This record gives sequence, C-alpha cells and structure tokens, in this order.
Amino acid sequence: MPLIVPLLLAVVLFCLGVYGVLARRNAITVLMSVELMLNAVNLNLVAFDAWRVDQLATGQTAAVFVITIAAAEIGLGLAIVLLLFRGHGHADTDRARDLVEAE
Amino acid sequence: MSALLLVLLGLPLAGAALLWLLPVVLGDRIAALVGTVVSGLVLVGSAVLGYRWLNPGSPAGTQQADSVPATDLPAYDGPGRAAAMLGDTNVPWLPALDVRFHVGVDAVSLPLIVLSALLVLLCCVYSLRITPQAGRMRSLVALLLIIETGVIGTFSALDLVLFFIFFEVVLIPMWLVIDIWGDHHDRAGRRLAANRFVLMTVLGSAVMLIGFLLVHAESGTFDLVALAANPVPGGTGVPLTAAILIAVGLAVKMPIWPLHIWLPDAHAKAPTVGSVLLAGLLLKLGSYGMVRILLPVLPDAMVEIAPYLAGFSVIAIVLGSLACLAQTDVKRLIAYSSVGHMGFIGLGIATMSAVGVTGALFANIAHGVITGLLFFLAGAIKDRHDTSDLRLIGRALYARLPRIGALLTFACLASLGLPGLAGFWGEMLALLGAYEPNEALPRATFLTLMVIAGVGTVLTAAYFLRLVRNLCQGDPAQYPSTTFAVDLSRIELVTWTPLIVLTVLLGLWPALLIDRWVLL
Amino acid sequence: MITLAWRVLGTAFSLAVAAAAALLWQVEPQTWAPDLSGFSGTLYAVRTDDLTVLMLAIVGVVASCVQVYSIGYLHGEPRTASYTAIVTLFTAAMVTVVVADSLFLLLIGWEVMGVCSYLLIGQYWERRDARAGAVKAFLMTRFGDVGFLFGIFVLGVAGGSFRISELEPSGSGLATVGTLLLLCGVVGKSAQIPLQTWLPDAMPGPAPVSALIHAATMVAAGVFLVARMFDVFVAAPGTLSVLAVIAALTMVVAALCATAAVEVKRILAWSTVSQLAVMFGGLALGTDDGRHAGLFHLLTHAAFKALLFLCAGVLLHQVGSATFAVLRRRARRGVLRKLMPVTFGTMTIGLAALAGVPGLSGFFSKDSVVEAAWHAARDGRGDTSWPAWLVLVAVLVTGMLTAFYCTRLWLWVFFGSPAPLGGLGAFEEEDLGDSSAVDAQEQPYHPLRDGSPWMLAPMVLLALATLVLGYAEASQLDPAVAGVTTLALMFGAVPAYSLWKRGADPRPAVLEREFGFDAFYQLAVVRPVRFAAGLVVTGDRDVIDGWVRGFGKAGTLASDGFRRLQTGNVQTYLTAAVLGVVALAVLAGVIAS
Repeated sequence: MPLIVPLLLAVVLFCLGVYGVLARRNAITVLMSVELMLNAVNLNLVAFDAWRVDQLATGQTAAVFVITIAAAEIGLGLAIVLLLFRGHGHADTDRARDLVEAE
Repeated sequence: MSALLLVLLGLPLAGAALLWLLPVVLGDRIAALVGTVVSGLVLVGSAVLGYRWLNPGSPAGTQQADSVPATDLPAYDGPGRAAAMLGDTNVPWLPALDVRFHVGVDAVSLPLIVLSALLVLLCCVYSLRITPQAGRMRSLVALLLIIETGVIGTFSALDLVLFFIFFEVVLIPMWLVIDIWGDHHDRAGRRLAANRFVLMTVLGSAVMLIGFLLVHAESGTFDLVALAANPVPGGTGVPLTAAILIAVGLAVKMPIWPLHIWLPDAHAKAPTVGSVLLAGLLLKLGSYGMVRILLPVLPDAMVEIAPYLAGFSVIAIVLGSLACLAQTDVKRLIAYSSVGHMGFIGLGIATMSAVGVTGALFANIAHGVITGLLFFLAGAIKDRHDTSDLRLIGRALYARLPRIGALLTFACLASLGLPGLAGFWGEMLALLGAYEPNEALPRATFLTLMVIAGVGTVLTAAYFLRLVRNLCQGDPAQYPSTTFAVDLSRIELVTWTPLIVLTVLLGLWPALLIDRWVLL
Repeated sequence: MITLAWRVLGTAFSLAVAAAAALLWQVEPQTWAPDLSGFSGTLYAVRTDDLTVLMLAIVGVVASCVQVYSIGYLHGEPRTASYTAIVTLFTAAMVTVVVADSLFLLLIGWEVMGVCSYLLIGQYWERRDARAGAVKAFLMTRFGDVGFLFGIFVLGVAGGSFRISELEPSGSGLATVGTLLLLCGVVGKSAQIPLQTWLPDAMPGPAPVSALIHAATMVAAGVFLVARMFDVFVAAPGTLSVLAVIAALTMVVAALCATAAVEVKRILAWSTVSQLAVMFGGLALGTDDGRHAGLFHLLTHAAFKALLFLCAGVLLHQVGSATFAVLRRRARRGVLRKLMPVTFGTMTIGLAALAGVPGLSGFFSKDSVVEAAWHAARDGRGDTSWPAWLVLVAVLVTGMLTAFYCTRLWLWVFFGSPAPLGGLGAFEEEDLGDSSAVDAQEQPYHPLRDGSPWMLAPMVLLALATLVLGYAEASQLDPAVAGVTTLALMFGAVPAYSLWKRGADPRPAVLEREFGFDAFYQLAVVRPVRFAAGLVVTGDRDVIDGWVRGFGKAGTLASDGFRRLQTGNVQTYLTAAVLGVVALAVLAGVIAS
C-alpha cells in the first residue's frame, strides 16, 4: 500500500491525541490520549521502516523503545492520578489548581 | 604617595572588617572608638596628601594641567581635566573589559577627600557619646567606614568603570543606615525612604553606566586621563546621547529638579550621622562626576546640554526655596535647602567657564561643611524633643536652648550665603560665571538665569529667617523651658567646632581653595 | 563678667576707630593690597582718603557714644553680652566698608552690617513687632543687595578689576547699567523709595541700636558708596538723574509720613529716610559742591539724629513708651520738661538742628545742599539741569515739612496743650495710636527721673557736636539761601504751632497708612510667594511624587499581570508549549527557505 495511508492514519491519531491531552477534563482520559499519541508515533516509525528497508531496522527498534517507555510512563502517570484522586476526591484537571499563583 | 592613597582607600574597609570580626558586645562598646581612630588616620593621611600637593617634592605635582589639546573643540580650560595626578596608581585589572585600576588625586578631588575624612571623623566622634536608639553601634560604624571608602574611592577613581563601582558602593550601606537606625517612630516611613533612595539612585547609575559604555564605544578607552587628553568630539548622535545619559544619572545623585524627590524623605527619616554624610558627601559625588567626567570628556555635547542643565538648576533653586517656605519639618526643610544649593552648583558647572566651575567646586566644599553642621544641629534638636516637627517642638528656642539656638542661627546665616562666611563665595562665583559663560553658550539665556538665581537667594534668606523666627524666637511664656533638656554638651561642642571654624575661615580666606583651581 | 569684658572691648574698639580717624587725618590718600597672587591680592585691598577719615570719625564717635549709652539703657536686661558683641561686630563691619578698596570686601562688610542690624532689631525677640521688623529689614536690604552684586559684576568685568581704585569712569551704556544696579543696593540699604518701609518697622530694636545703625552709620553707607564711587556715577549717563528723582520723591513722601506718625521713634525713622534723601539729592547733582554738601549733611545728621534717638531712648526707658498718647499723660502739666531737663535740653537742640534753625549744624548743612542745588540748576545746560531744579524744589518743600513735624513733636511731647481736650485727633486717653503693644510695658505711675549719667553723657557730647559742627563750613554761607531756608522753616513751624495751640492733630488717612506701600507689598509680594510655596509643595507631593509612585505602581501592575499566567492548570501550560513549538517550527521553516 502507498506510504501515505499509514502516515495519514498516524497523523489523525496524533491529532486526536493532542486534542485529548489539551482538552479533556478527566486525567485518565489525558493519559489515554498520551498513549494514543505515542502509538501514532509508533505507527509512523513502523511505516517508514517498512517503506525504506533498513539493515538495522531502525524504525522497529525505535518503536520497541517507545512501547517500553510508554509502559513505564503510564505506570508512573497512573500512580500520580491515583494519588490525586485519593487526595482530592476527583481526577479532574480543571479543578486541580493547587499550584496557582496566589490571588 | 601612591601607597598612601591605596592605604587611604583600604584602611576604612579594614576597619569595618575588624569591627565585624569582633564579638557583638565588645564591638558595640568600642565601635565609635575604633571608627574615630581609623577615620582620624584617614584624615591625617589625606592631610599629608594635601600637603604634598601644595608643596610638591617631585615634578608630578607641579605640572599645571596640559594646555588644551589642539582641536577645534570649544576651549574648556577650567578645572576638572584629569592630568598630572598625585598618587597615581595604574594597573590592569579586568583586561577583557578594558578596565584598569587607576586612581589618583589632584586639586579638584583633594579638598573633597579631606572633607570626607573630616565629616566621617566627626560622625564617629559624635557617636562616642550620642548613639541612636536602635543601638548596634558596631554595624553602624562599620557601615560609615564603608561609605567612607566608597566616597574616597569615587573621588580618586580615574577609570570610568572603577568610578561607577565606587559610586555604587555607598548605596547599600546608606540603605541599611536609613532603614535600621532611622526615625524610630516610623518603621514604614524609613523603609519607604530608604527604598526610594536606593531605587532612584540605582536607576540613575544604570543610565550613567550606559553612557560610560557609549563613551568607550566612541573613544576606545575608559581611562579618564586619556579621555581628558583626547576628548570625545561631536555634539550630536552618540556623544550627545552619552552626555545626556551621564548627566541624567549624575543629576539623580546631585539632585537636580525634578529628580530630587528622594532627598527630603531620605533626610527626614535618616539618623543624624546618616543625614550628615548623605548631605555632606553623597550629594557631592554627583557634582564631582560632572566636573570630572562630563566637562572634560564630552565638551561639545556639554555645550548642547548646558543650557538645559542650567535651566533645571535654576528651577531647583527657586522651587527648592519655595518648598522650604512651606515646610513644617526641620530636616525636610534643610533637605530642600540642599536642593537649592546644589542648584547653584549645577548652574556653576553649566556655565562651562573657569570662574563658574571654580564656584561650583567651592560651593561643594562649603555646602558640605555648612549643611553638615545644620544637620548635626537639627539632629541635636530632634533628639531633645523626640520629633523634628516644628509644630511640636514649639518656639522660643533662644530661651530654652540658647547656645544651640545661637549656633542654629549662625549655621542658617552661613547657609543663606552671607558674605564673610563660606557659603557666599561659591554662589557668587557661580553667578559671575553665569554672567560670562563659555563663549559657545547662549549668553542671554544665562543672564536671565542669573537674575532668577539672584532672586532665589532672597527666597533662601526668607525661609531661613522664617525657620529662625518660628523655632528660635517667640514668646517664652507660651513655651516654657523643658527642664531636662541639656543645652550644648561637650561632645557636641567638640564635634561642631571644626565645622564652625572652617565656615568662618573659608568665608574670610577663600583663596585657600580658589587659588588652587583658577587665578582670578 | 563676660558682659563687662565685652563692654570694655566694645568701647575700646570704638574709641580705637575714632583714634584711627585722627591718625589718618593727614595721611596721603593711598591704597594698599597684600602682596599675594591670585584672589587674595584683590580681596584684601584697602584704601584711605578724606572720605574714609570722615566716616571713621563718625563711626568711631557715634559707636563710642552708643556703647557707653547702652551701659545705662540695657542695665539689668538679659542678653547684654551678646548685644554688645554684635554692636562691636557691626562697628567692625562698618569700618570694613569704609576702608575697603575691593568691591568684594566692601560687600562683606555691607552684608555683615545687615546681619547685625537683623540680630539687633530682634534683640527683644519676645515681641512680635521686633521679630517681624527684623525679618523685613533683612529681606528688603537683601533684595537690594542682589542688584548690588550684579552691579559689581557689571562694573568689575567691564573695568577689568574688582578694585574701586582701578575702575575707570566711562560713559558707556554698560557703566549706566552697572551703576543703576549698584543703586538697587543703595536704595535698599538707605531705605529710599521703593524699599523704604523697613526702616520705620525697625524701631522695635533698642534705641541705641536705632541711633547707631538706623540713623548714623548703616543707612548712611549708601550715601558713602555713591560718594566713594562718585567719578564712576558722574560719568555714567542717566544714573544720577534716576537718583535725583528717587531722592526728591523720597524726601517729600517720608517727610509727609513723619507728619502723621504718633510715636517718637517712628517720626525720627521717617525723618531719617527723608534726610538721607536730602543727602542723595546733594550727590545726585553731580557736582563736587553737591558731593561736599551731601557729605557735610551726612556728618551733621549723624550727630543730631543719633542724639535724637538717644533722647527718644531715654523717654522710652524712663516713661515706658514713646507713643504720643502715653507721653502726653506725663506732659499735660509739662512734667517731662521739668523732671528730665537734660533730655529736654538736648532733644530741643537736636530737633532744632533737624528743622534747620539758624546757627545750628543742621542749618548749615541743609543750606549747603540748597546752595549746591541752586548753582547746579543755574549753571546746568537744558537737559542736565532739570534734576537740579527737582532737587532744589524738593529740598525746600522738605525743609518746610521737617520744620512742621519737628515742631509738632517738640510741642506735643514736652508741653501741655493750652486748648481744652477734644481737638481733632488729639491724643485722648483712649487714643493709643499704633503701638499699643508697647504700652503694655508702661511702668506704673512713679516719679520720673532723668536718665542715668551713662545715658546722659553721650547725649550731651552729641548735643555739643550739633552746636559746633556747623561752624566748620560757616564761612561759605550764602545769605540769600539762608534767608530762603529760614522762610521755609517759618512756613513749617507756624502751622504746627497753631494746630497745637488749638489742640488738634489732623492725620490724613493716606499718611497714616504711609501711602499704602506696605499693603501693596503684602499683596503683591508676600501673598503670591506664600501661595507659590504651597503650590510647590503640593506639586512635589502630587505631581513629581505621583510620577515616582506611578513608576512603582506600574511595576507592581506588570508583575500582577504576569502572575496571572500561572493558572495552575496543566493543560494551559501544555497548550502554550504546543503553540510555542508550532511557532518555532514555522520559524525554522521560514528561515530555512
């Protein structure tokens, strides 16, 4: 298939992810959107790797790195969200303003 | 002589360090004594320097300033050009920035250095017996000594950046002096006064530094001796900008109207010794800077800005006097009178003639002596009544404190420029300089300003007489003697006598200083 | 102890001055300056000539009399040591003025005299009129001295030297400007119009001070200056005409004010202003005769005016007040005359000399002025003779008025009025004039005595001088002139006598208000300055300080603005980061292309 198809899919997924990170209220949803962005990047890497056959398989190697880091980061992120929920009773990003500059 | 000058610069710093190394209790007890010894040594050293200048053993001191460089600049042949310096030390310091550690003194800076040493010595002697309520003498005297270093350093610096550094050294110690030892009734007021003093001066200095950098860009050097020998030509563009920036920076310090607003607050809230040094020394840094830096280094640009400087100075004379007429606080009144006197100094400098600048230099010294005495007296009255508000002190001081009242009258008469006392010659020579300013300047403007400044002297007399009338005179039946107030004490007499003697001496023998600067 | 030391020192100094005058009498006119280069060489230059000797003699004799008189006058009062010291300082300053060859040395003496005058008028600083009078005297003379200083500048710079002996008389416009400016200082110091109102208000000072400073010496310094620089003044076109106008106007106005004053010292003060104007009138003629006449009048005036002030002092000291109303309570039966004979006698001599009674010194000196004016008017060419005519007419009119107020003073103070009480303006019990503050000091009624010998001896000495001094110039008297002045004397004295006989003392309102000068100055000078002072303080507080506070406020506002960026919302930060990245990418793309 032409290269553009998976790239386009990756772009769409990435933009959905950016929208989710910037605009969704629930912290879990934000994390899910971050995952979506990372997966879009993975798709991008693999697509390029398939298009340009490389002896080192750089794209696939990078994709494996990204998966690993994503897993580690989501573990950490979920732990933080859990603490936020336990402390404040909600996981709402709009309401978590403890670090605001005092009025 | 170079070693002596370096010792003069370092000794007060060493004294301050010594004081801060002492334990607090011991330090507080012997602080004034240490300060007296150190500043006494500095005074002796500066007197030796002065003697050496007057009776040079080596040719370095006898050289008259070199003849005016052969360019087509307006000939400024008055005092101020750095040439043939005594005690010259010139070593590289920050080669990457083209900054050298270059110090030296000549006839313009020596009297100011002697005055600085004298005033700091008198402040330390005064503090032997009379201490502010906040205590902590160790720190106070140490800060006074640091101020002394800064002042002497500024007067002897011959490199622009070095000048700037010493210029700034005095600011933080003065901030601390006003904030910690100031008017103990009004905490917020002293903080505000100190902040305003520092912020306005620092802003001015920053502007002045930009001017220095522009001078370096134009001429390639920071060194004042080199710059005096090869002044920066041109009355427009970069030199003019540099001159305006430097003038604004120095005008904040002098202070020239309308940048004077920090002075009355600072004086009203400062302690006695702080006010004496602020009025006696710190204000001179500005006018000295103009004579040393602006006039010789940027003569063409100075021709452009001189009428404006003269105009603002005369406005300062008149408005300062008018403001004094409506004051109800003694120290604020004397502060505004300083604004007026520095206006005369500014006018003298702006005339760019030998006579006018000589008048400005003489007025510098005279103002330091007389206003120092006035602030000592105001401090004495304030300490006895715990307020400096005229409405609360009352009247008929001649009956309650006759000797202090008489000395206050003497100091007021000296300050209003009575011929026969030190204050007259500076003002008179400044006016004479305005009558015949430098040929490149518009004479009609200066004549008009001279007349207005003359009327300003009448206003000066008016407000000082009003002060004497409202404070010293009056019906004693309505203001009975406060029984616990002591008239002139011994320490006050000892401290003030040198200033009184100098006032009369300089009044009757002005040639002592004038002949060093120009032959009339 | 200190008082005694100062008294001895002061009297000795004054006597030394008089002795110096005697020693310098026959010395050649010469100048001397120290042999120093630079400023000192010009500053300390001194000179001596016959004008110096004359002034030194006047200063020395009058100062000695005043010092001795003060011993009696200020007996038992506080602050006598400082008083004596200041009087001595004043004497030294006056000596400086008369021997100075350097204009700056003269200015030093000139202003130190002004300060001593200020301090001495304020000797009784517990009283409001003394405080006000002292300030007014200093400020008005200081205002004149600004012009004086500028005149020194103009003449010194144009002439190339600040030494009087080296000033060349020149007819240039610059010389006129310079001399006119010098006249400002002269007008201030000698209390001529328009700066004349300070002298009558200086009367709250002690009477010996009034005698020394405000009659004989300091106010005469203006006359001295014009005489000293006479060549310069004569050569400058127009200056002397201005001086003649001022003198003529002042003579008559001051004499008119004296006719309506109700306190002895105030009358004498206005009389001083008027007589000084007569001296200036003589000098303004521009001839050597005129100068000589002016200086002769200065000499005789010093003697009899000092005498009159000392007599007034005795009256004040013994009776407690010098207002007509209070004095008349004692005079109704001629009590003052009988109980204070020496005072009465010397005061009569003084008043007679002032009025110009033939035979006394005032007569001779006034006649010499009239004669000089007549010669100058007769001999002068068209445009230069009108000042002389003006002066001539003014002096004659003044002579009349002087005789009037002298007679008025003499009769009302020492003689009971033959008319029944109730004449127009007569000094009834409740008519206290304008010195009610002084009356508060009036002693309770006790037998009057004459002053102490300390006070009387100088008065007698001065009276003798008044009698004798005229005859130094008696030989030059012109009988026609003498006749005319005697006629003027009659025209002045007779109305005063007839008014007194009827018990009336009409005082027109315009004269009582002294032509409204004071009110005008209050309105035109004092009020606007006070208003301006308030304006400046408000301006400083609201406008300039407003700018400074505004700067501070601007900083605080900006800081508040930037604080709002810290919203605490993570997504806001991320949005900003994303936008920033996009912008950088676009920028990178643009730069790369």
